[in-house]
Order: sequence, then structure tokens, then C-alpha cells
Amino acid sequence: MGRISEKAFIRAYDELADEIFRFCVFRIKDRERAKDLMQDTFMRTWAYIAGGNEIENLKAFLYKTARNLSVNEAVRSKTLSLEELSVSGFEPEDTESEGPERLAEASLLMRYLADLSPEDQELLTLRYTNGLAVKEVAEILGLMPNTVSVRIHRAIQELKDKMQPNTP
Amino acid sequence: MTNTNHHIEDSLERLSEVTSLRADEKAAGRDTVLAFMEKNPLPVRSPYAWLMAPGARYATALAVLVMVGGGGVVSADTAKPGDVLYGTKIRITEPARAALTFDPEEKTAFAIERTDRRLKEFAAYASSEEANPETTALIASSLSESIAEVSGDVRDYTETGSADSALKANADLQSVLEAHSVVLDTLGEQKPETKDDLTAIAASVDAGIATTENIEQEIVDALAPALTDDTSVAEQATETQVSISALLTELETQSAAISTDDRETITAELSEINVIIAEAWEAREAGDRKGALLLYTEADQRLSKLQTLVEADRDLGIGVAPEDEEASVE
Repeated sequence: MGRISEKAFIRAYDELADEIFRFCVFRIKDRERAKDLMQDTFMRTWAYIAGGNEIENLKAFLYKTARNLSVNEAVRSKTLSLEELSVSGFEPEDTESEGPERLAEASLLMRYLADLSPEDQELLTLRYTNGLAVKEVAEILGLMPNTVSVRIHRAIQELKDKMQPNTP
Repeated sequence: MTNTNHHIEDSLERLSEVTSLRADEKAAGRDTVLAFMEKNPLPVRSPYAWLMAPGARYATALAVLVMVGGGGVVSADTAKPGDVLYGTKIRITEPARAALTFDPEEKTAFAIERTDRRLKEFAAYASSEEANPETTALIASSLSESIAEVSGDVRDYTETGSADSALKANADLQSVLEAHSVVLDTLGEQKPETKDDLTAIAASVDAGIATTENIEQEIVDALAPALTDDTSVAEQATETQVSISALLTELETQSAAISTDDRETITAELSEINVIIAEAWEAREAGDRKGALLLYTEADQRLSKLQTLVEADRDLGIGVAPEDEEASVE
């Protein structure tokens, strides 16, 4: 990709701000802080570009920056219990198009998801909620695509076990 | 079972519909990013850029030496951000000095030292006065250059069978960047008005950390064939010993100024490092060169990080573990 223009960068914001925000929300479980981290991600990346550096894959670079910021933030913050998650804003957003049943289902799923390891939550968020290809997830996490596929499969199994503890 | 899996996958996909930014939040974020971009425009290529081309740097430095009779350049060597000669030091004297270093490992060590120096200079500058965007841009650019130089060297060492040299350089760079990442975070909390300037520097630091982490496994995989004898392990053991002595001297010197919380953090970190050193010694005794080298390197890396944080506390009074002990020191 090389040198990135202002126009291309702001287009990237328009296309990827939601994804990056979502990635941060699932990582740190705090909606307000996730908004700040999303903005920080774009500003740090721009600062890197404005410093004369070239970026090969802007999307992957943004995700990696968001990941570093979220990891730091997660370490600095205390771990939240399931009850505390909704207080911190880790809840589905009440949009007009979603019915109460759908919101309740989403809320439950988010709580089960929050019970997985941070690494598994990260994999499932990137792959399914943000819809990235396995290859893209692998690039962001610095793993081999095969490793990512295996870990995703295991994470889904674990999530399923948590959701249906009595199912054989 | 597969149906259930598909159901879970579909449900995860649908979470995107209920965890999105509202339109007003997205627009506000866009305005903030745009304002930041306006304040930090893309660099305009200087008409004198040819003077800085790798092949021209040494000649340029000599020419400047002749023009100013040496005196200007000598004083540039100690120039600080904001001084008139600071740009000369970064653009001319340091590259000239690097050009005069012929041993590859010394060259890498000099680039790591330059990275550390730049970050220390920036921290002192940002904490004492309002940073100037041009000076910040100059520091950010020099920082990116020195990090890229070390990363390139690390890759070269890995690919040419000197994985032990790669491991050391990568660990040294990582400890410098991680320690300064903590310092920058603390400065950002203590001086929110410097956020934009800190962001520019932190971007280079974060990218550097990511690069060191990405190549780590490759180095470890290439390590065993490079360790044909005990020399690298012995050298790293000695370096770790030197790092302990340096840290203890520093702690003794500023013992009175260290807070009780920091003292506890440092003690806890040192006891963990002691365990790692003991494990390294055992691995070496058992003939596990790779294991011993990795453990000594980890101990040395953590000692260097702690040393940088203690020095930052001495110079800037920010504490060794200001917000979160675990976050600051491993």
C-alpha cells in the first residue's frame, strides 16, 4: 500500500471505525473507553504515517494498534464480574430494529463470551462478529492460518459447552 | 452438533448489529481524528533531502565539520530538544557516528542506544515544557529510523545464522520500548495537554514493540543451530550480572527518593528475576544452551526495563509503577 493519503485514511475511518470500536468493546468491556481507544487507534496510526512511515496493510495495522492499546487498557483495569459488565456498558445497544427477545439473546451470548479466555474472545470477535477472513485474523494476531482455524473451532466448542452445560 | 455450532456462529455474527457506534458517536470520532490529522500533516519532502541519503550522510557530516570548525558539531552532541543544534545532532552527528562504526553488532547497539536516548529526551522535553510539533515530528522520525534499523539488523542476523545476536538485539530493543511505553502512558495521565505529541511518539513505540514480538518466535526457532558452544550463554550470563550491578547501584543512589509502593514493586520484580536467573543457571548446568540463553535474556530484558523505569522516576519523578504495578513492570 505504501504512502497513505489523507483521503484514503479518512475513508478507512468511515469503513472501519465500527469494527475497531467493536473489537475494543469486546476486549475491554467498557463502551466509553472503547470509543476513546477507537479514536486513539486512528490517531496513533495517523501519527505513524505522518512520521514518514509506510504501511503495507492499513486494516491489519489498525487492528494491531487497537489490540496493543486494548491489551494495555485491559491490564490496567480490573477484571469485571459478569454482574459488573452491564454497569460498564458491555451490553447490546438498544436499536429500533431489534426486538426485546433478540436483545436478551444477544446479552446472554455476550456474557457467555466474556467467560472465555481473552484470546478466545478475541478470535471469535474478529472472525464472526467483525466478519474477518481466517487469513486476516492470522495476520493481525501473528499466527498461521491453520492455527487460527483450530483455535476458533475449539473456542466455539467451549462456548457451546458453556451455553449448554448438560448437553452431551 | 454442527447445527448448534452454526447457530452459535450466526448469533456471534449478529452481535455486530447490537454493538455498533451510534451515528453521532461515529461522526464525533471522525471530527476528532480529522482535527488530529490537520494538526499533524503528512511530511513535505525537503529539497535538501539528498543530503540525508545514506551515502551522502558521512560526506555531509565532514562538510559541516569543515564549515563550522568542529565546535558547532561538538556542542550539537549534547543538544536537547528545543535547542538550535538539536536537529544537527539528529540529522548529522549521530548518522556520521554510526557511519564510522564498522562492527555490525556495535552498529545495532548504537541504534538501540539512540532509540533509548531519543525517548528519554522526549520524555524530559514533554514533561518540562509545551512540546513543539516540529520537534516532536523530528524526534518521531528519528525514532522510527532507529527502530527500523535495529529491526532490519535483527532480521539479517536471524536469516544469516546469528540468531543469538538477533535474540539479544531484539530483547534489548523490546525492553527499551516497553519501559518507555509505560513512561509515555504515565506522562499522558499527568500532562493531558501533551496528548497529541505523546500520541505521535507512542505510535512509533507501539509499532516497534509489535515488530519485536512478531519476529520473536522466528528467532527462537533459529536459535538451536546457532549455539555451537557455550560462548553466547556465558556472554549473556555476564551481561545479566552487569545489569544487576548497574540496577543495584542506581537503587542505592536514589534509595531515599523511592516511594514505599515502588519499593515493593521493585522487590517483587527482583525476586521474580532471581528465580529466572536460578532457572537459567540450572538449564546451563544441564547442558540446555538454548533454554539457558532464553532465560538469561529474559532476566536481562526485565532488569533493563526496570533500570529504565527507575531512571525515569529519578529524572521525571513519575514513580516506577505509578498506576498499576503489574502493568508497569511485567
